[in-house]
Amino acid sequence: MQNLKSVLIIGAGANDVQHGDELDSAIYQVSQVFKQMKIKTILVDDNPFSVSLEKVDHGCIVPLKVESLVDIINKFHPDAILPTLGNRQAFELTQELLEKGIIRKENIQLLGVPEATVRQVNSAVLLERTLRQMEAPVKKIITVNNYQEALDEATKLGYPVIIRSVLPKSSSTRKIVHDRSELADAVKQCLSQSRAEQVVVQQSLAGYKEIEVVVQRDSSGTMMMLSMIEDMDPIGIHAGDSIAFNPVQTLLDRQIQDIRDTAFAITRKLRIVGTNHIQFALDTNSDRFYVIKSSPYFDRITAFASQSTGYPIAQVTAQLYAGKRLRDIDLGENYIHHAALVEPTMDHIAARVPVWGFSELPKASRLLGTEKRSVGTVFGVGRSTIEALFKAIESRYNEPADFHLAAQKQLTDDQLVAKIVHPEAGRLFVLIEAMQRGYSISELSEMTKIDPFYFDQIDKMRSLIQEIASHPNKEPFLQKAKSYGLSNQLIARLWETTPEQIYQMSLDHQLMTKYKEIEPSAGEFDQHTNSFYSAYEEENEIERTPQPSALVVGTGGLRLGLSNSSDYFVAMLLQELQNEGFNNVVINSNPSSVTLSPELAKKRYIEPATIENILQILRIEQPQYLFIPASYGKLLNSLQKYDLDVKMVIIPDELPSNAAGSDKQRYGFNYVYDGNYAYPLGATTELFSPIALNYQSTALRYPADLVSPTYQKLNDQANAAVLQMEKPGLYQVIFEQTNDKFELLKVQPLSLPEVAFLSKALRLNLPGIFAQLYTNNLDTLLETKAVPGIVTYRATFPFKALRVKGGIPARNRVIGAQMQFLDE
Amino acid sequence: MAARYLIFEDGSIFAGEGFGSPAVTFGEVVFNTSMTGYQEIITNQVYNNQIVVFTQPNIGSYGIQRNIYESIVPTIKGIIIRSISDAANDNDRQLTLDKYLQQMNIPGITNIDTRAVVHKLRKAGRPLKGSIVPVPDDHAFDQLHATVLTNQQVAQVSTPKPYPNPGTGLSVVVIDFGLKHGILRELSRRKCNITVLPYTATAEEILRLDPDGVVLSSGPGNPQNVRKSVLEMIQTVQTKVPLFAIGLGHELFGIANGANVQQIPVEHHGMNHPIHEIITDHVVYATQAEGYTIARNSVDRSQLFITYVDMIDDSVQGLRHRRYPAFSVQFFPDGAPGPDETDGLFDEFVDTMNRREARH
Repeated sequence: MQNLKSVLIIGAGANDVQHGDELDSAIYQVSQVFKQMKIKTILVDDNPFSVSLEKVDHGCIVPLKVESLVDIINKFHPDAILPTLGNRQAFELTQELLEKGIIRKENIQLLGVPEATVRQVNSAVLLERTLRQMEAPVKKIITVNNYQEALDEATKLGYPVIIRSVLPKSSSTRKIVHDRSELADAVKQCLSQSRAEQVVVQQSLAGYKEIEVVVQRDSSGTMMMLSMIEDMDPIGIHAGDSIAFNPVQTLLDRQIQDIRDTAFAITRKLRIVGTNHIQFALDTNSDRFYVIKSSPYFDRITAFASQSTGYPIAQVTAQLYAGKRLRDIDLGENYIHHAALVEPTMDHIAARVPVWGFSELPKASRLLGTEKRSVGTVFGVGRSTIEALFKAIESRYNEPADFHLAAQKQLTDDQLVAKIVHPEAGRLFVLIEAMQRGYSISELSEMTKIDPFYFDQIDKMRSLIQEIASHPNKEPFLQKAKSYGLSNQLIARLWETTPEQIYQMSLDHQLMTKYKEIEPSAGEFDQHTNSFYSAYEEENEIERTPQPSALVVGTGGLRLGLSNSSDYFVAMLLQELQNEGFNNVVINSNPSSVTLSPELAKKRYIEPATIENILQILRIEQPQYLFIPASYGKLLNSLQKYDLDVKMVIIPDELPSNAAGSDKQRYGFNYVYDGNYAYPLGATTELFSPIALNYQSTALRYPADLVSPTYQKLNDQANAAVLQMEKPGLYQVIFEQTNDKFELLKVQPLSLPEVAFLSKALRLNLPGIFAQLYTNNLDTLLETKAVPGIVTYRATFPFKALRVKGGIPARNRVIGAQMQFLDE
Repeated sequence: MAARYLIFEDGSIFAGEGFGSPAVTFGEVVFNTSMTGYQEIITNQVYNNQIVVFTQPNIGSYGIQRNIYESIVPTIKGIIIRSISDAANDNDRQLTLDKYLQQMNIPGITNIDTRAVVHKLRKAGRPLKGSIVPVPDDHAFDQLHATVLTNQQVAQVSTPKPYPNPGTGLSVVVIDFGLKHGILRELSRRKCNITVLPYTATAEEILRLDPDGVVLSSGPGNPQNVRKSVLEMIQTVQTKVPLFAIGLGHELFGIANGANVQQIPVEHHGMNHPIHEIITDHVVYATQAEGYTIARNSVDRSQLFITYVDMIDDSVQGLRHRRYPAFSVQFFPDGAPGPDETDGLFDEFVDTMNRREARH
């Protein structure tokens, strides 16, 4: 691949329930490597929250459709297409391009996967055929056309079985049949739904252990296993909704090696270059396992694997795409020679927990099943399973209160049993309560199909909480609590005091947090990833970051409303701080976040954003600046109680309160205000929503359709209003139109989704400008160039994915967004 | 759990909690970076005289399984871990790690900052003696300093008497230097009819059994401390029948053919180093547990090829004789625990025997 000069990357589009920041993060990292290798990157995406669109050589904001891709190809004539950074959709688009013949005509290479594999990723049937041919273990599927045959096959397979229609007439008909009595009905129904008058009898894997493997292969065939991750919940609950552990916690070596061999065989067979994420179902009774899915693209698991091991997957994969072999890769001075070839080994445990959207969508179903319900993810790193899990839980900042332990006490026994058997989001606390009420490990394991190991851990958590609670303000118990990862918040709740008091008590007893590095050789080599986690042990590996430095608290797991606009904002801000010569230090616990990319900071703390962590880290780092999200209200209140020698800047990540739509048209006049002068950024207007039948701040156009005199008049009025603001920042002045009258409603900080949108519409780094306002580096007078044509912004919502009937679009329910440049 | 201390000859003390046997133990402290297979590691005789630090923080989650022992009477001196997770509440489970270690008289210590210990061992650049004790007082240190570990480790772990492991295929003699069951498992899988002999077996005794091939097993310690008659045995046997040597067996095979061994400053125990398979130009992974290595420049190229090299430390990982059907690897192709990628070496050994069989 000597001649690789330009690569077309297909982006992932608006965030949704299936994917978040991890793809933007991967594109960002891959394109940085390409840049170093003098390969030009062309990115096609329409996600206004994408950082990469602004960092690649050619960011093309066009709809993710095959027609736009054809146009882009005709314009840039790329040498290669990379379909592995845009989720499944990118594979579908690549296949359409293949079918159009343009890839062959233009002599474009496919990076990462050959043509045949693109088709297999897109077709479960094709992939299954390949897997069967290579004798990889897959679940048994038999097609029959009558009840008797179905009964014979079901008896052979053993219940439960799944019955499906072949070529269904309407949408999918799929029945889980638990015993013989349910079979006749299911077969009858599915037969009647089948255009072929056939049904499939399929082995159910529900209840088996779900294991996720990340492997890597280079063009010379070298293969490595990067991670093997165990989901606590069995098959039947979507892997993304399960608590997951890296490394696996309960598998025997024999099982691990068999799964590894199969993962290698599949990756070899599909001739994948780069990473492959393969999911398995493991039946521990028979030691048999089954391949569920092979995803040769970046996803939340590759991101989690990379962040939790310290192995730089994106950096390595980028070089593999460019044709390098693993043995040719040099990871730089922080790693040993051939580090890319050393399989990561962990001396810590990472627990990943889902983040839900129920605060914003209280009516969404909480029942867990094969469809994903969580919207984001956070992780905790510790030196024991319990410590990692406690930290991960603490990282969920905005959970509804009924997820807490205390709420479970209110459940009747019947309700509790129902929740054990029909699992709901936040089930960990239900299981703790069940153990509290005396259910045995084997009982619970039988009811939930969760390995007894986890109940043993849960029971230890439970008794630990009890032990701590019954010894208030005792130093040895504080020490014990800290060594198991309990936060000051939790200890304070148990001791009926405040986190600040607990912090003071730690100081009084010189119980200092120490930090360990997330490093992929488990200490064997002198290597540095500059990612750290706290531990209450002997050794401290942290050193103060060279000055000047800025500590930036990330916005944590993806939240409905902001979606990834907050990560976009923080990432762009980090970049600006870096340009200004600051050494960035980031605190975040979202493994998918682009802000954890090594290029953006000198150091990363994988910790929940709690008062204790921030105070500890401030103490170590003594930075010039502390950037902290406004949405961490409790945290900000606590911080005010301390006399901190740091300039604190609030990241404006709170959503304006005017969340609902309006019958009247509204206009937003946008400004950069430096304390003296308000620089106009032009006006947006809300678009009419055909669903909600009103105007929505979640659909915008820029510029607003105002005639010049009106615009001037309102601008003057808005300008004057902004000049009244106390602090410099990005502001928006809202007008509401009634007939010919415009009423100034209020001035508010420009919301982050709109910051991201306007940055792209105006080709202006607004988060960077925000940083400049506070670091006194805004030296040039801002001039906004007129945008040719109209730019639109439309937020997307998770109603369909989360089965919320009649969901009303609102600012606080946004999961992603799309933007488009329209020529007028 | 009772308070216990891990002390080192350099005077350092780590406080932890004891489990397994309460006995005081002494040994060379080495660290193992594998993320899987604690039971196989504990029962591997290669750890005779050694106390093993597990870098994987969570040990014990599935207890002790009846079918994955690598030896029946392990002689490891102790284990050092960050946290033990014995599923103690569950009666259905088999033996817990804690109970097993009690039965086997192996002390364990938990709640240790194992990463700090690894850093210490790495920086020391030489093997450090350590001890797990109830009180870290002067007496404990005096005892530690006074302790002399035997250098006759193979004699301690090798079987005193021959025993068979019958099969229906080729006849293989396995010389036991501290045999790992994985080797027997792989040979059994290939239907071999195995006779295990003590390491003292002479060439004559071996050849009297008319084997199709001979395997030199892995084992503990410094190969230079193994009695010299073993080298003569190898020199004779390799001229007569196919020979496959593993671990300590590989080191002895190298010495028998003129190479020297050298001690590795920081012992290497893990399964994640890339190993270059020279003939195919492939990179493979395998379990490694090594304190000694064949000095690369001492390999007499007129006698031996180098077949495998560790890409991290450039150590010799495999040898092959130029004239005789004899080959060896430093790593463990039988896994247990660890990757299976090199188990084809057993097929190669069987093929070699079969080819010779056909010629007869």
